[in-house]
Amino acid sequence: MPLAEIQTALARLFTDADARESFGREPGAAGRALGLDDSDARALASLAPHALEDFAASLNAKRALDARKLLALTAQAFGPAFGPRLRAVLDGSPRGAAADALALIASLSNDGAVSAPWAVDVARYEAAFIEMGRRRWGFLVRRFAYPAPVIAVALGRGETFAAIAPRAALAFWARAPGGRLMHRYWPIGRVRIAPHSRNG
Amino acid sequence: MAAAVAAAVEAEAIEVKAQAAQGFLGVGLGYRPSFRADLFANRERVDFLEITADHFFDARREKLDELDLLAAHFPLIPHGLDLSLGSADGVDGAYLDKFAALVERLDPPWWSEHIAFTRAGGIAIGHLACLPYTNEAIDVLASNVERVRRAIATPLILENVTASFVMPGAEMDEAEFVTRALAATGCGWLCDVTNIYTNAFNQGRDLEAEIDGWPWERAVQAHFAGGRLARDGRLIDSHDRPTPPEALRLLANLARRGALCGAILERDEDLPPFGDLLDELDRARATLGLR
Repeated sequence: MPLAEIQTALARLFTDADARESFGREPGAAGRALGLDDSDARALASLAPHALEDFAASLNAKRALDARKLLALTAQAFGPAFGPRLRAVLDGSPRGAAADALALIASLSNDGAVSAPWAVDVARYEAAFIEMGRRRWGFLVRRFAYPAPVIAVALGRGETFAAIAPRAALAFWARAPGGRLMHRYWPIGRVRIAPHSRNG
Repeated sequence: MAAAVAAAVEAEAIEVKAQAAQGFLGVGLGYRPSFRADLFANRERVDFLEITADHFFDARREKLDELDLLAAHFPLIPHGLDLSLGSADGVDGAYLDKFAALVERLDPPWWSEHIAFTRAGGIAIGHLACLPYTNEAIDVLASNVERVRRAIATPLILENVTASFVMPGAEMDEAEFVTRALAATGCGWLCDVTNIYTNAFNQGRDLEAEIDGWPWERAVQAHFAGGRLARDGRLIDSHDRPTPPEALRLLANLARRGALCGAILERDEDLPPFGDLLDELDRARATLGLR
């Protein structure tokens, strides 16, 4: 069983649900498609039935955990809906926690059916920090329909809300080459948050 | 080829021991930013830190300031996750360059990576995958370590990993594989006692029966941690529980048989109050006969 071929096949099987499904159904043909000869495919197929699925599941769980760490406020804002939404964007070969997190934010931002629009603004606000964390220099300006910076601070303190009235805010991030990240925001109008329970 | 590499680099293993023997680093923590404030408030109870090297590659100013702050107060050991030393494709040159720059910045007594692969055929797996226990895998590992050595002169130590399953076609058992891999590469051992226990538990092996098969004398550093039981009864190396007594017994064994230079508690999830982690460090010190 040549190492290069088996590693490449395993990498596909660990990260591609379709490849796993095909391999489980028909190891010979799927194995050949993965670059394995028949005996190698049979050997790999002799693993415990759920071995590949278990490892793939542990990879996805780790991926989700890493992305969630970057999106602590977004996770709080979305509550129980966060996990399923995150898992929905984790597909294919891992691309790094920041990329996974930004993919989730893009998906949330483009979803007009989200029940708590202020939570989307929190997600966009948190995403801006991730994006600037990846840049050596540059700046970002974001306009929010809800007072995302204020909500973020409140979430960071563990507060929950019943409702939040739309109030625009403007936020700015900048980094000089080799410098520290600078951030400012300007609420536009008075912020009104009804505390104590979370809801749309 | 493995034998030739082993002969050529045996001097480095000796160097690891000699360098480490200049000072036992003690018992420390795998650094996580979430407990930074508690760490500095209790720094006299943490002897050294292991940092995840990957978190400081391409680092922005904030991360470099954090690194400098840590380095000013603790000995730091860089620990890599994605060098993929077991890849038949070879190691990623760009990743290696970043690692070399970090090691040069920190000038640690040693640095560490895993006996594993994380990439193959252009696919990044995103996690450590176990190598098949074969001679070819050992040759590949030795060849990759040889290349790494040309970029990083600081001694490298290698960690044994958990295996979700044992690859078919194994030519030896895990203990022999690790022993021969360390001999072929000339590296010291980062002995993860919890990984040894986890694999033995999940594969139904008798640890006591195989205890003499492990290369305790090559150990430079240890990892200890706790995991949780999955619903199907498997033990998961989740680093979210206190270290189990079975792993601590291995740590004690390591202290008796090896010339250990440091031990690191790994705790990634479900962080308890920081005092609990400090108590766990104290228990490890007692296990190692340090108090």
